[in-house]
Amino acid sequence: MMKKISQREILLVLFAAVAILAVGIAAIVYDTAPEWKYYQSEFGAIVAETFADVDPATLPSGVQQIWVEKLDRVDRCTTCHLGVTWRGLEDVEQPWTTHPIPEIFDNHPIEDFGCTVCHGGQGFALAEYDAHGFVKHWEEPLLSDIAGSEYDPRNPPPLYEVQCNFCHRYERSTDGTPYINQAKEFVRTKGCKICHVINGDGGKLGPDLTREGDKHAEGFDFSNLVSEQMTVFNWHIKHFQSPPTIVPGSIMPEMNFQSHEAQGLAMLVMSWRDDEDLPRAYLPGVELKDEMTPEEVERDRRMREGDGAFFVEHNCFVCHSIKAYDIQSPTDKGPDLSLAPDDVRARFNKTVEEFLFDPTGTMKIILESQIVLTDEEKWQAIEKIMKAYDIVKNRAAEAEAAAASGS
Amino acid sequence: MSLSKIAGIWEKLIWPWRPESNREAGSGIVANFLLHWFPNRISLRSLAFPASLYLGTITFVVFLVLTVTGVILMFLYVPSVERAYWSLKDLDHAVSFGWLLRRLHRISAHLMVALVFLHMFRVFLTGSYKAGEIVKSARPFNWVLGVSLLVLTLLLSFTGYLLPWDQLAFWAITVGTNIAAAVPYVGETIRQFLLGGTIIGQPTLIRFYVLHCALLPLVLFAVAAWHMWRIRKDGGLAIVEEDRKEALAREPQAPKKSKTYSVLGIASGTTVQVNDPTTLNEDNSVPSTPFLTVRILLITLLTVAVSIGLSLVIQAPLEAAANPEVTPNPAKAPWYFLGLQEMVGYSALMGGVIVPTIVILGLMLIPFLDREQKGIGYWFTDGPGRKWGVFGFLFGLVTTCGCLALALLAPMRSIFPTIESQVFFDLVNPATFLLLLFAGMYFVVLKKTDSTRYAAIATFCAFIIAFVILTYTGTALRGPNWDFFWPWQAWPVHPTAL
Repeated sequence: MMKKISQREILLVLFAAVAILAVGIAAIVYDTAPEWKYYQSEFGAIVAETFADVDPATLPSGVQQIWVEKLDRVDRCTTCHLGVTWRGLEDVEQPWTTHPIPEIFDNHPIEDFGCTVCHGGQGFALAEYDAHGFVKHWEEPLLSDIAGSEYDPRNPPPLYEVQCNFCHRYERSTDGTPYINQAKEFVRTKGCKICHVINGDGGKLGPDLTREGDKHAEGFDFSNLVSEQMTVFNWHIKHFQSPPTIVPGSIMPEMNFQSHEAQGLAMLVMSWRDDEDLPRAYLPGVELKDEMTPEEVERDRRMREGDGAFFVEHNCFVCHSIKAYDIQSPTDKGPDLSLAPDDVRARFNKTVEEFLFDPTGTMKIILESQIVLTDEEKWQAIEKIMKAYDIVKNRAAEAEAAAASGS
Repeated sequence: MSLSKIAGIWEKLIWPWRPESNREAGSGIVANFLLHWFPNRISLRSLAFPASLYLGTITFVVFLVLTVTGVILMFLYVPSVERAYWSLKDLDHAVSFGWLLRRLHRISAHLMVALVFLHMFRVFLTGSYKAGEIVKSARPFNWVLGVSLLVLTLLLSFTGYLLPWDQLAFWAITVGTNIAAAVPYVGETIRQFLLGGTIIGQPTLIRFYVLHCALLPLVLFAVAAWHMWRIRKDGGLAIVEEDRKEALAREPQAPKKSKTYSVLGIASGTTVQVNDPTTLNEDNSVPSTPFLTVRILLITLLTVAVSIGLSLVIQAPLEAAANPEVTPNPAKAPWYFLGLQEMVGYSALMGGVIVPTIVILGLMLIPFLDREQKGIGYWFTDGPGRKWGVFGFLFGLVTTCGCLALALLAPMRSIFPTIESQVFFDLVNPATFLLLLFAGMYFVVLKKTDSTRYAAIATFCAFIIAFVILTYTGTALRGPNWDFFWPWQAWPVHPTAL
């Protein structure tokens, strides 16, 4: 007897097939319609409305990413915040608006810094919720006014100053970071270094604070902090206001800080993180060149600012000294330019003028590729060389006269 | 090379075998593996849903889902401590369907561990590890294969746990390998062998990666194939023993009227009357195609649909990047080890070494200790078996809760404050009590019923409920500092930076 497969089983198979189709379609819809696509299309509309001369088709589309290799950061924020480096979108709302301080990009090009290095948040994320760091296991919280208002709803502390001072920590004061600047002033005037080592120097009564910002929340004792905000930032604020309340038995003096002053100090100590991996180029005030003695610095200044500044500026001095103007070439490859009129006549049978406008040999190559001068600059050079020639000749004549009168 | 030679190689590559006779075609079909994946006919008892709940099939489908998603993930994951975590961020946020791949892989992994346990519970409770009396089958050996598949599944899950390289991964593996270090004398060596050093680092990551992606899946696949092949060789699920009994009891059918031959010296009468109890007949079986194939299709579709559906609603967690300097509080092993971690809290030697060893050995030995052949394929064997099951369940419930209460309310060290010997507390602690209580119950039930099967059922049911309660306690009721919290009690707020 051949039995038949039950109707119910066939229906179940059909149901399962439909279920797979349904979850599959749901997954495809979820993946192919991310919110950033909406923000990008809206940005196109805003640009078309605001700027007549911009073709919306040329706007960036797809996932945008700033990879700052030196800082080991990947920021995809500009996928939605497309207008951040534009001028003229100041009045447009987030996420399309211009950066509130557009000048910041002059010293901090977005391609060298990205966004999260100052603002915090999750640079990898492409969804509003994930990126702004309200998720449970956020990478770094977004240092917005929303985060700041947890501490002072009416006057949220500018938490991003913590990030600014990671690079700017060795500066006496930094534009745009009033809280940090004030806190640095306190460090100088209240004598913190009497008890604490800060940046490798200070007393030993209290703990070394050079890397205080690296201390994780687990490293703090929160048992005496009575507050809604169980955060390291709040711990520091309350501790600055009354050290013995937070750390019973502490001998750190109470300084009667106002709350915004304590907030600034908290930001300052939290910015003191290990910067060994920070490329030097990101540390303001650190000069990347060979050390010079004060005499060398002075001679360098005179060469740059004296009568022969033209030859330094155009790098002639790399090969040629110019005695008349006290310019000493580091290599002395070529003849002294003070004597150029004689030298050119002797070797090429030309005047300086003829030679500069129609050079031969090595100088032909250099003047065509390395040091390209305009006609005006050439006349300037000729004038200065002739003047130098006169000076040297006069000096020689004077010396001769002196020698003659002496003998 | 001549054209005919190239054609010859091509022929070899595509193997264009054409049967030249009906006989050859027949042999071809007989030799085809895919056509023999399923038997020709399947017993109605095997096909029925309650016989197996299809847990083994579901497990295998989930394993296939894991294989497919895992192979794709291998293209996107970078097994280096610098890149691993960030390649997961990319998967979650930027790779097309990366989130789905990761969630599906994670959900399926947890499902597979849970399903392997459930499948084992089912096989035990239906007595399907028994050889049977009519044809001695190799089911006891297949049970041992099954237990090794359980161990392999746990190892696969455990090695995969480290790969995201976040705090969850780092500290779960720290706790897990520290449990291994509790083995006397060789524990630290085992731990260093697993980690490739004294701390979790790049050597650990690459070890776990190779084990997770290459070695363990290959071994698991081979053993699983063996496991399933054995089921075919043993004639299907254990419930077919019932079919065999019926077949034996039945009178041999009179042969059909046809020409008669004398089978001199071989059989009496004029025909060979065969009554092979392993042969299924028209009444107790159906053709595998379409009955079994459609059922497998249904199970496969439902499993995949449920896995994807769960992936749509459950996110795969990713915590902060692994940081050896910051220990999360509490630091927990993967969930299936949390019952052990709970016991490690009483005694590392007991919870970390003795209990798991006894459990694994005990599981493997079950079919060789319990040799009674009654009620094979039936849940709890029979009426008394069900009664003893309920008894074991209640006994396990009471004793486990009792031992938990003892651990929470009266820790051994507060009862014996003057004793400092660690050996004493390794021997006297709630985990030991639980083990002794279960062993004692086994012998009491054995004495009372004179049945190893009933004693085994009671002990196994107690083990199931103890496993569930301890795992739940470790997972949900243990908070910071491994303190106990009721589900309605809030954990202390975890401080953050900002």
